[in-house]
Amino acid sequence: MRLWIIVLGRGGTILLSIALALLLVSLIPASQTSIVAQSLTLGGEMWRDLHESIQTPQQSLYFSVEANGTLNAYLLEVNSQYIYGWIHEHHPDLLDPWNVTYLQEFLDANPRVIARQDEVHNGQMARTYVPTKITDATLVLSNPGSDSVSVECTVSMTALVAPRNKVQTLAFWTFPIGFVLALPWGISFLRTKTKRFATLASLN
Amino acid sequence: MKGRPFVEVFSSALHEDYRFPIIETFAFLYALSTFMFASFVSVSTPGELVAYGLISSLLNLPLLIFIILIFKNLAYGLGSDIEKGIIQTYLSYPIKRRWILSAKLLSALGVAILLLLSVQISALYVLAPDVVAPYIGTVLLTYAANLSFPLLIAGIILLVTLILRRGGLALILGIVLYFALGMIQTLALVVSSGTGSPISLQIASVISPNVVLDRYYQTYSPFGTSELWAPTFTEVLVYLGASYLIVASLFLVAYLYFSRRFGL
Repeated sequence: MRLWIIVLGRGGTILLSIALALLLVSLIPASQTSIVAQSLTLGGEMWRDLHESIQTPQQSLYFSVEANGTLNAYLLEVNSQYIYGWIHEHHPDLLDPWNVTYLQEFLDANPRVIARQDEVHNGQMARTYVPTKITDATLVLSNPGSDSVSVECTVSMTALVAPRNKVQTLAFWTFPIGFVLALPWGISFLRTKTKRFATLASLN
Repeated sequence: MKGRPFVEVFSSALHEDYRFPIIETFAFLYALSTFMFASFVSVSTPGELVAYGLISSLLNLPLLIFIILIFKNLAYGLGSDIEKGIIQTYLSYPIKRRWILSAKLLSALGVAILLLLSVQISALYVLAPDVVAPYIGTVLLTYAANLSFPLLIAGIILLVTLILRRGGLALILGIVLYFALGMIQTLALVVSSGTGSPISLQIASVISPNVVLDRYYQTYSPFGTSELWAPTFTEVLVYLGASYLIVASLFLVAYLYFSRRFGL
């Protein structure tokens, strides 16, 4: 068998075994660690932080928001103290930091902390967030309109072995590449084995 | 034309060390264990500490798997090559003896290390890119500190296999050494705590620099209390260098023995 066929073929079989491991990892069921549901009314031009936690790449945060008006939902990679601290630092005499103007100022000054930004129009929105590092995560809702909006919000946290979508996508790409690389070597390997068995059988 | 015989010895060693599906099984186990054993410190600590904690958390079982692979390749593989006279055939090739040993070690150790690092670091990158990529120096330093101890045992096994010309005894010695030296590290911590002196920890750090790296990051941690011994980063590098110097010396002795004293 030619050397390059062996090298590529064994590289392919290694990729196949890694893909199998990834697939297995993605099949391990996630376990829900906490679930919180809350209802509130968000006044016109107001914002609120609804949930905060420390997230690791092995935790997924699922949140769904249902509103009877227009809302902005932000998932920020900071804790709420940081947001309030920033607002108070820039507006020392402020007593009510929950006006959307201050949140917008904070977001304009710190665009990097926005992990997700979504708009809800008279309906429901659901998102899942899996961080790529250890980070604080705060779910913030803001009502840019002048009318009050009723909100139903559910937040749940799930413990994962690995980010399922990412690992599955990788496995689905690795499988065909590994298979194509391993195919010529596999055929030669099987031929050699068959010949050996045939020779042994004829000797017997 | 030493290239051709070297490639021949190397490919023959690869064929013997990694028969189908040995390398595939190890790649599968490394990939799986990376995800299964990875754990993160769940508080906002410095990024370097998170990277160190992540690598340390997932290395226990993969290192044992790695050591099994090395034992198989060196004690069993090289030992049976000597017993069967395959090495003696290689010695008739038109290349220097050190190249024959290099080809064997490149297959037995080089490929094993490459497999461990490439599979684990890639898997870690999939799991937590923002932990691994910015602190790749810390990641590699942690691997270097953890690999020194298995390489030390590999050096001893190599030397014993060459001297005794038998893999079986070297394999038993390797297993005994692995557990004995592992216990010595724990003992060093107990002695240090009991006597209040860091000397035993410093000695253990020369054998396994993971001890000094662990002390360094304990000091660095916001919860760390390292009154006993708080090494600086330079000290970590010195102990790491010293341990690899010992490993290199062992391999050098093995090379010298194989080149000059190893008879047919």
